[in-house]
Amino acid sequence: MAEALIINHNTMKINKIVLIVFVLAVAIAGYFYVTSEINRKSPSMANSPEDFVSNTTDLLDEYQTNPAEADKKYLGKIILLSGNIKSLETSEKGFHTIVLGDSSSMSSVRCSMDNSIALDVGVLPIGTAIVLRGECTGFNPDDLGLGADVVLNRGVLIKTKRK
Amino acid sequence: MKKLILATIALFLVATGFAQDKYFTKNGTITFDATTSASPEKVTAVNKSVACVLDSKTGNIQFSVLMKGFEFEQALMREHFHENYLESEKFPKAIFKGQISNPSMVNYSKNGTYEVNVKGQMLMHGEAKELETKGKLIVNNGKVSLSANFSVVLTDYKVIVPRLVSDKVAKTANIKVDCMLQILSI
Repeated sequence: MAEALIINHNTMKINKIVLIVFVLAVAIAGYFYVTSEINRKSPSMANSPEDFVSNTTDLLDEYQTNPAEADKKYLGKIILLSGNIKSLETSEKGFHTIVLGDSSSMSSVRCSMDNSIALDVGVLPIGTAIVLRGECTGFNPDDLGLGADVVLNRGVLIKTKRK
Repeated sequence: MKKLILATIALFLVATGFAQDKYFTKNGTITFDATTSASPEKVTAVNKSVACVLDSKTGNIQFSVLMKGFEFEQALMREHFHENYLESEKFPKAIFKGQISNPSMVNYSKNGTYEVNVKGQMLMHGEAKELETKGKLIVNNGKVSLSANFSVVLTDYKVIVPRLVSDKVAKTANIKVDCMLQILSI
């Protein structure tokens, strides 16, 4: 009887220890998970796989034909886009935007480039065929009289094909 | 033939005169800051693709902001901002339409710094609210730099911050606008 009580007591002790270790392990794992989630950086477009592959003409056509449908398809998605440089703009804060499209049209695809990645604008003359990867942030129709634009951001230059 | 040439010249003069009253950018910057004093990290985002058109004659001014264009350093913050708070897929754009209430104060042909009052309506997250703020226009050799700082109460636009993070995300966000405008030539 006394032996059975001792065994029972020991089992309870072991169970308690196992429970404490389990709770501690869950708490530590939870802490590391929450910390890593909070500190998780937005991934660079250089390492992110694209959701769609397209070119300037097709992307503009899709948005101009049916902006709502195109938004459903592309908004927030990563696009690997090819096109010719129409202009390259640098804001007073030093942010670069590569504008792709046909120089005879007011409409363009504008890609705000990731400023954490160095961009040598000297090797990008107007007319250069390039491939870039960026996230689609939407479409500005021509309601401001400035031409219609599809806008990408966090852009990364993937390939330059010099003429 | 003479009449046709004169009409073409007149049309050209009207068109260029009309265009030169307008200034624009598609690369304006808006910074969003909803950091509280208790927040361990900055709740800030930047949008570098803001479109803006200013009519120097009437003082009419319009901004168009694609919400998905707000970039955060932290991915989780970005996801919450777009998916839970601003619902950027449902409300992809914020628009401000307003007017400089003292447009005659600004001489666009003379370099200088001009204080302006801007009043209008901002549409964000499907909610339209009146907005009035002070701003600064700097005219420098044909280019116009525009800046403004103002606050928006998030609940005014039905942006609900959950209680769990209410000590980290402020109820009022500070908005900073910086645009370098150039003459619109058609």
